[in-house]
Amino acid sequence: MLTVLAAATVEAAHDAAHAAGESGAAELIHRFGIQPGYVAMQFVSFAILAFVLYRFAIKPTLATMDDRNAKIADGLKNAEATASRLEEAQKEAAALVQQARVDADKVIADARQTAKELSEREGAAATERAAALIAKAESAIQLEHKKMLDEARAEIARLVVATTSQVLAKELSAEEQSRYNQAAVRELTTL
Amino acid sequence: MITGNLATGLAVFGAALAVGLIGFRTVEAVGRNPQAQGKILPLALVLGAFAEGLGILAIFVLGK
Amino acid sequence: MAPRIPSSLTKIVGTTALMLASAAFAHAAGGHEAPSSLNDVIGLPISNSILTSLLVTTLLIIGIRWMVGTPKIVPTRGQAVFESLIETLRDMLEPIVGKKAMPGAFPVLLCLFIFILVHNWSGLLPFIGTAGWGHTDPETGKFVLDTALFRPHTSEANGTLALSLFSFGAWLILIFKYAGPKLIWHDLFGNKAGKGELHPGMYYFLSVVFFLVGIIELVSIGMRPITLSARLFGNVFGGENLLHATNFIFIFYFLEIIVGLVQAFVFTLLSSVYIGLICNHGDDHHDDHGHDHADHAKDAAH
Repeated sequence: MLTVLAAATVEAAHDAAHAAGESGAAELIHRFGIQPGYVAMQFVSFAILAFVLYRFAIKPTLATMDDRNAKIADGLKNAEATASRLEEAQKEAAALVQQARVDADKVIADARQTAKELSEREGAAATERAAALIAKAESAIQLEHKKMLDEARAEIARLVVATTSQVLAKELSAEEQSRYNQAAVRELTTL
Repeated sequence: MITGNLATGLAVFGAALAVGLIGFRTVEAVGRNPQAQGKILPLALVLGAFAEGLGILAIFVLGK
Repeated sequence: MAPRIPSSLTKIVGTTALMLASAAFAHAAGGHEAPSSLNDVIGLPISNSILTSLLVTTLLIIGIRWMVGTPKIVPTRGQAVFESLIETLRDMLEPIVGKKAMPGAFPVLLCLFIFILVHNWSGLLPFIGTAGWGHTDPETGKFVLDTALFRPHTSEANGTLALSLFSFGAWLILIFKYAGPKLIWHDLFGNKAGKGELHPGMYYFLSVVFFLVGIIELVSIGMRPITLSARLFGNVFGGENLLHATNFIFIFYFLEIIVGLVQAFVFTLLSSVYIGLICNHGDDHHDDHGHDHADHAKDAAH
């Protein structure tokens, strides 16, 4: 309300000034040399400038500025997208590396396990083989020993028979020979 | 020696006073709040123009 | 008026050169508010300021075309200068004119600013307003300029009147385009009081008051072209006289540079305020800044 009243007063002042000027308006027009033709010429002069500037400078420049702003906005959006994509890729890469590490650990553990098993198995086999060899060698020794003993017995028996025959100075019959042999062998076996 | 139109002189005096006051307050306002300079300056120019316009109008109307 | 000089161009060049020597002593001694017709001296049916106006307009068009060329995304130097001018003015005028009317109003306002600025400053160039035909005052022995060959467009009433009429015409077109007759009517004569808050009798009384205020406003709007042109004319003409009377003392020269800029600004700002008064209210409540500004400007304009 106050502004409206204030406005009214100022308007009135304007008005009064205008009214006072009205009386001498013709004189003012004469004094300032105002001629419709001149005004029209000046109007045209400015109109030409406004038209040419608008058509050939302002419009294209504004269009270019808008274009550039759009491009910058696009670029920013792209940059943001790229950044987010990069982040994603980095996350992915990190996940991959993590996975690979886990896998590698597993592989190594597996390998270690396998190697352990293998070495154990190898060790067991070697022991077995050695044991077998030892057993074989023992049995061979035993066999040899037995053979030797048998041979020794046979020799002793033969010696017994020979000695006996010499002592008795008589030829023993085949039947006696075998009887003595068997007796000697029986005695020797008990040794 | 004083020559010329007293009425015109008074009108221009008033306009000058108004422009001065506007300038005074503008400087004060900008000093108080320098960030608002962009808002204050056009306003001050327009107000100055209005005050000055009355003075010029008076010169034309009265100063014959 | 000037003594009649034979209107042959070759001779004029000679005489003009002669006059230049004493041009600095030329005094704008009364009666120079009116533009001088060049009909008598060079046979052209135009005034000296129209000649200047046409020349400067042509130079301006060539200059800006040369600066801008074909605008590119990566600006050339001239284009960057022009763009920074556009940016500055747009930032300054947008809150006043309002977002709605800005696309239509901005080119006109920009052209007004450039035109007035260049023409104001053209008055500071050598020869403009100081070269021409005159006579030597027999009493003082000083040279008195009667008919200048060039006068700045904005230093005589025809030019500024043409500019303000252009601005007024643009204003009319813009308000009808962006606000529409209904809003204009409401803005001028409509009752702006809240209907629910007041006693009905009071409300109708206020309607009458608002209508009367609207009539006063209408008169004030009718005065606008005159005040607008008188302000510009008075400042530039006064400045020109001041410079001539003080023989172009450099302090006043700098003062006139500033005045030329400020007056170009004021003309553009006032034109935009007039547009903003009608086109920039109620439509952007979210834009606090712009609204605030327009309100202040409105108070100022009343």
